Amino acid sequence: MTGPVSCFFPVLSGSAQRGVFGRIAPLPKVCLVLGFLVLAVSFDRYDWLGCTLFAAVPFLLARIGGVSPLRLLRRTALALPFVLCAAAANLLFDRELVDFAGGATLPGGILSFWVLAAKTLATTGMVLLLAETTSATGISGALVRLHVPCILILQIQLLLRYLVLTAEEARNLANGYFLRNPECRIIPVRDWGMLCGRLFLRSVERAEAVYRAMQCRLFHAGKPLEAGEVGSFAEWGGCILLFGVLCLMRGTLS
Amino acid sequence: MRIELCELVLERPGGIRAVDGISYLFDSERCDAVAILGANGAGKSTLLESIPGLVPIRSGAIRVDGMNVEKRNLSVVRSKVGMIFQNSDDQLFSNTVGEDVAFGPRNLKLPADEVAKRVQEALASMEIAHLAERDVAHLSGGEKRRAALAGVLAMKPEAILLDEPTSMLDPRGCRELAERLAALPALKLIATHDLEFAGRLCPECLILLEGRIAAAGETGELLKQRELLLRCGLA
Repeated sequence: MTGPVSCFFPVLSGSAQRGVFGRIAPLPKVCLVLGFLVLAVSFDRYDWLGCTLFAAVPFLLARIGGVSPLRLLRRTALALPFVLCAAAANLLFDRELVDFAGGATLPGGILSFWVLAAKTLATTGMVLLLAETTSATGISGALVRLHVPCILILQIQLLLRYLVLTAEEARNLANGYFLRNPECRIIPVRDWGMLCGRLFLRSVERAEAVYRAMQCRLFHAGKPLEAGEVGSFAEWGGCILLFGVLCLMRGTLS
Repeated sequence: MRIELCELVLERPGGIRAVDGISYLFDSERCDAVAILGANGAGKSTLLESIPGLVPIRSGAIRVDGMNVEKRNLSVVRSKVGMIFQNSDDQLFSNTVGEDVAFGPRNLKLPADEVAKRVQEALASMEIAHLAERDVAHLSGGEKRRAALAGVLAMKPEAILLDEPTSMLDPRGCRELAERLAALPALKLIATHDLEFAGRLCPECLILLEGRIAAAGETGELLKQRELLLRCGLA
């Protein structure tokens, strides 16, 4: 699998389950990530300093954990355009002057724009770091331990698989299109309807084939999912300590 | 292991009749590798997919070791019968080869150490133990085929159904696959139009034409009948 989806869902493209984080049991890691997400989104819309520092946390942890921070940043950046498009409205409509630093003031729109970008980097970066260092089975096992409904976990798993094969089919369709249109650089709007329709049909067909293969190996959607391992005292201790530091940061930076 | 087809009628979506009243007995004691030959659209794939209950039976019956293939028996049937699909990409859906091979044994609710043992054995039997941590998307066509086969072998099936196993394989890959399949202690039903592969691996064959049995018997003998092969779109 190559292309944007494999970049965005590294867990599906071969996890780097080595390094410090790769060796920690999934459950403490998932709890740490959930705690981090709550802390990161709890910042006020003008808390630029706290958000900026939190945005750096996943990349620092990646460096410690043996994952390339640059690669993680590149993957995280794929989520930015969606958020920045939404945040762009703040630049236009939020013109209230807000204290920035050292008595300087800035329009609130700029600060909230920055805060949204930083929150995106923090949350997406942390989730991708988890995906990079934990197998899909491990994450689903941890979610089962946390009593997340199995149907929801299954939906997430199947949705990710569907997205991956949709991306594969999109790549094949685009290749087929461009190979027979050597002069064409961007698919003209008039062909989008046809290609999107075809993509939908082909991805559904492939999804059915994959599901049939899963059924042949005794997959049954009604079966309860297996709970993952709980993790050792040391693993929990490390994660709780780290979460404590993050809480301290959050408390002092607001 | 015995797989019995009794007056079997199967339809493809749209009501097109793919298999039209076939009766046949596959018996591992008589022959452990049977080729199902036929041109495109002859009904080979539909026939194979009906055995683990992936295609609804229009009429007639399929019995696996005397057990009817029907909804309430599907788990037992599928634990006895493994299937390798024509496109290995449809079959490999986990992150890594090791995880994908473990998918079936986990669904059999085996303890973790037994799952790990089966994964190792299956990978070793396909000589892909070194690929256990490899992303399934980064495998060659031959490696994908072997990984798919390992995923089925890890479930220790008594019969393996292979749909066009040589498609997407080079001649060397075909030869190696034939050698590996010959060594497997299971009933093998192989749908193919690769006559050389069928001749090399399967002592018995069934030739389908428009959903019906055009001929059945010893592969070597049938493959000599040029008229028959021409009529069935195989030559």
